[in-house]
Amino acid sequence: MERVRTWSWSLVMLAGAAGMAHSAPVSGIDADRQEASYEKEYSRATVADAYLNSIVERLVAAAQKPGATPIRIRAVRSETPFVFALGNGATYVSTGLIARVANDSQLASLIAPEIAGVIAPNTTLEGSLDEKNRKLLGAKLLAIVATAGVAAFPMASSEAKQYSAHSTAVILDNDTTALRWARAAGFDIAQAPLATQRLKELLAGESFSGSNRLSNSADLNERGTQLGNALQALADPAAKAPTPDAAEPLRSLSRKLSVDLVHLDFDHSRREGILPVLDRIDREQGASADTACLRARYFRELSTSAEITQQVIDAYQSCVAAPGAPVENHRELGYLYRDKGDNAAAARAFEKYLALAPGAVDAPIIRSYIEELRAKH
Amino acid sequence: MPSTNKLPAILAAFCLALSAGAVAADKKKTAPVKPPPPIPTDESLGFFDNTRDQLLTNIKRLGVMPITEMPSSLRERDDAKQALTEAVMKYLRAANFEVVPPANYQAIYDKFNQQLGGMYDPSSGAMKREVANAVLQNARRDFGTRERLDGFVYIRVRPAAASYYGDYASWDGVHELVDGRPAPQNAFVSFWMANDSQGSLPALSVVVQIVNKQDRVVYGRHGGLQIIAYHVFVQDNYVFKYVSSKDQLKDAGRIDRAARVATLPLVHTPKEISLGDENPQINARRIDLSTLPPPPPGHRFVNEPPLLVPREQILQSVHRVALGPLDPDRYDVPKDVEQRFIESIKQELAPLNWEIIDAPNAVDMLVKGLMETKLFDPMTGKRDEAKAAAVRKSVFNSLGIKPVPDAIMWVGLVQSGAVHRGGDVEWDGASQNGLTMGPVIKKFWSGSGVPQAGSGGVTALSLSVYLADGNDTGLYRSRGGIQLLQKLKFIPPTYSTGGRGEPIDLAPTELFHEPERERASVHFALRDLVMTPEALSAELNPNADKDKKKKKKK
Repeated sequence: MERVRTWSWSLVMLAGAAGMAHSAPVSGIDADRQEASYEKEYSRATVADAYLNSIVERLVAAAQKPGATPIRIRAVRSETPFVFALGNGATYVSTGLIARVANDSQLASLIAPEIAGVIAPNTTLEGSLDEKNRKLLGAKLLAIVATAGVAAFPMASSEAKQYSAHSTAVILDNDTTALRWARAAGFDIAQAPLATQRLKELLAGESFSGSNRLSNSADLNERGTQLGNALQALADPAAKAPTPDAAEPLRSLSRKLSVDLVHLDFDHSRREGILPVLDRIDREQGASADTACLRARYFRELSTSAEITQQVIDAYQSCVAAPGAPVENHRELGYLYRDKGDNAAAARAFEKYLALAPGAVDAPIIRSYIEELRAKH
Repeated sequence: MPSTNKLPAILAAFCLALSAGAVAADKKKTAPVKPPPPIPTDESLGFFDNTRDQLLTNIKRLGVMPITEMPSSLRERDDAKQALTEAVMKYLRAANFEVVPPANYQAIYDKFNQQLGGMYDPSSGAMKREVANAVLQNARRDFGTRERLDGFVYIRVRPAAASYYGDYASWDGVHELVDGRPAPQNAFVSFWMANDSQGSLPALSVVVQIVNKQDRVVYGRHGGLQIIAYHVFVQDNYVFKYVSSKDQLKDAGRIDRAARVATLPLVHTPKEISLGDENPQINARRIDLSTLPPPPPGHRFVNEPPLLVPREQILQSVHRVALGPLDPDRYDVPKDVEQRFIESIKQELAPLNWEIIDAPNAVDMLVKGLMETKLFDPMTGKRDEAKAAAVRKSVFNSLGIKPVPDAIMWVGLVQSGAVHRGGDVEWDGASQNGLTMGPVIKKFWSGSGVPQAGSGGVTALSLSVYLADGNDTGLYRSRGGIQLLQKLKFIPPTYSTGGRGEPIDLAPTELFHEPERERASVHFALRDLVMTPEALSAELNPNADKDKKKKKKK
C-alpha cells in the first residue's frame, strides 16, 4: 500500500514538473518568509546600501509606476555575483557583483530586470501558460496513470519546448521593460551585455563558478544573449545619449569590496581566486598597501613547510613599506623573523609595531617578546 | 555378537568421515574472494590542500590545543576532554608524530590572558573580541615558536546526525544499534528484533584537524562517538529516549574508536585502508558491537516539575506579587500584545486572590544591578552565582513598592524546540499543525496529521514564567506554548526517499496575531500554580471519569 502511494506521488510530481512554467518573483507571505530567512542567512554589507539605493531610485523614477511595491535594496557579503528581488520588494545584491562590474550602467542594467519583475510584472504573459497547464492537468494525470507513466515522456518533451519558448518570451519582455527604464534613467544600456562578458572573463580568471545566472560561464553567455536581444528590441536611433557614469562612489566601493572578496577567499580557503583579484585591483585602480599586504599573506599561507622563505619575508617588507600599510603587518614580520631565528630583526619589527600602535591591545605581550629577544641577542 | 572393542574405532571413523564431508562441503561453498574497495584518494581521507605524503614530510612535530569546542551541556566535562585528548594523542604518536600536550599551550595562554587583564567583560560576561584575538593569536604563535612545532592539532566534539535504516545507525565511520540496547549475541535474536524504520538520530562525533604553521587546515576528519537519542519501540509506538549529558562521553571504548577513525589516514596508508576493509582495527564499521561496553541508558524526556516547592507553601507565603514586564527576547512584540499578555496573566492569577502590583521597571533594575556587580570572572567568563542571587534579592527593595512584595513573577518569551509527527506539533501544553498552521485534530481514522510528512524538529514560541521570593528561592517555573515559529512545507515521498515536512521560518509579520493562542499559553504556563491538583488532573485527563465509569459497569 505504501509502495503504491509512493508511486502515485511520483506520477503527480512528474506531471507537475512537465507543466512547470516561468515563475514570477515569490510574493505574498512567502516573500516575507524568504526575506526573514535571507536576513538570517546573509551578512549585510551596509557600506554599499546608499549607492545601491541611488541606482534604484533612478530606475524606479524612470519606471513611473506610482503605487508599485517599494523596492528595498540591500548589499550582502558573498563572493558569488548575484542580484534577485522578492515580490515584496526586498532586493539583494551581492558584494561579489558590485566589486566586479566596471561602471554604474553595468550594475543598473543587471538590477533593473530583477526589479522590473516586481514593479511591473507581465502578468498576462506569465499567467497564460500557468492557466493552460492548470486546465490540462487533470487530463494529463489521467493519461499518465492510464499508460503507467509512459505518456509522461512525450508530454514532458513537448511541454519542455513550449515552456522554453514561453520562458524566452517572458524574459525578453521583462528585460526590454527594464532596459527601457534604465535608458530613461540616463544609464548606458549598451553596457548590459558588456557586464555579462566582463563577469564571465573575471570569473574564469578567478576559477570561480556558481549556480545562478550571473555566476557561471554558460549562464552568463545566455544572459548576455538575452540582454542583447532586449537591446535590439529597444533599438531607437532617436534615443537620447546616456549620461556618463560618475567614477565615484563605485570606484572606491569596488576597491573596498574587492579587497573584501579576497578576505572571503582566505576565509573559505579558495586560494586560486586570490591573486587574480589582487592583480585586477592593482591593474584597474593602482597598487596599494592593502593589496601588497594581502599578497604577502597569500605567500605566507602558500608555503607547505614550517620554514620561513625569503619570498615571504620580502613580500611582508614590501607590504610594510607601502604607505598606509595596516600596522599588524609589522607584528607579523616580527613573528616571521623570530621563527626564522633572526632575533634582532624580530625585535625591530615588534618595536616598529608598538611605535605605530602604542595602544594596541596586545602591547604588553609584544613588549615581553621584545625583552626576551633583546636578552637573547 | 559384534565386538564392543571395535566401537571406538567405528566412532572415530564415522567422525572422520563427517569432518571430511564437512570440509568438502566447505570447499564447495567457498565464495570467491571479494576484491577490496578502490584505494581512497588523499582528499577523500581528509587531506586538504596537500597530499598525505606532503603532510607527513612537512609536519613532524604537533602541538595539541586544549578542547574548547563542545556542545554546551558537555563544556564543563574535563574528564571527557582529557580522555579524548589522550586517545587522539595515542594515535598521533602511532603515526610517528612528536606530540606536545595541551598543558604547554595552556600555560602560555594563561600568562597572556593575565597580561591583558582577561578576555571577558566582568559586567556582562561578553567576550572582548579584540583581547580574545590578541591572547589566542599570540598564545598559539608563541606555543609554535617555543615548542618548534610544525603544526597544531584541534580536537572538537560536534553534534552529528546518525542516519539509520532498520536496527543500525551509521555515521562518521562507525555504527551503533538505534535503540541503545546491548548488541544481540546471535543472529537469530537479531533477525527477530529487526525493523524497517529509517531516519536520523542525534549523535556526537569528534573532529580532528591539523593546521599548519601558516594557518592552513591541512587535515580534518570526523570519527563517530555515540548516539545521544535512541529510537525505541515502547508499547505500540516508537519513541525517542535521550542519553543524559552526564552519561555521555564516559565510554573509553567508544572514545578510542572515534579517535582511531578520525586519525586513521595518518596511521595507515590509503592502500592499507583499502586492504583492511574487513579488519575492525581499520574499518570501525566491522567492529563487533558486543565487544564494546553497553551504551548508556536513554530516558524519555520529562519536563522539570513546574512547582519548585509545594503549592500549599506558595499559597501560604505569597500574597503580594510584583509582576515584571514581558521580556520580548529577540522578538519585536507590539505594545498592545505585550499589554495583552500582562492582562491575561493577571486574569489567570485572579483565583489565587493575590495582590498583583505592576513592576514595569523590574527587568531594568535587575539588568542594572547585574551590570554594576561585575559578576563574571574576566579570565574565564564564569559567573558568580552567589553575587547574582544577591542582586536578584536586592531588586525587591529597589522596585520602590511598599510594603515589599512577597515574590516577583518574571515573564518572557522563549524559543522552544519541538518535534512534529506528521505535521502535528505538541509543546509546552499547546498544539498546532505545522502544515496547515491550524489546530491539531486527533480522530481514530483521520486527523490533521499527514503520516507521509514523517517527523522532525521545528521551532516554536513559548511564554515562560518564573516566580521567586525575596530570599531568591525559586517557587514556580513553567512555560506555555504560544505558536509555531516555522511552517512545514510538505515534501512528498519519492522512490528513494521518504516524505518530510521542511520547516520554513515564519515572517515577523506573522507573529502575535492570535489572541486566543496567547491567552491559552498563559493558562498552560500558570495552570499548575493556579489550579487545584484535582482540577488540573481533570483538565489533563478529560476522559478519566468516563474510563472509571466504564470500569465500574464491567
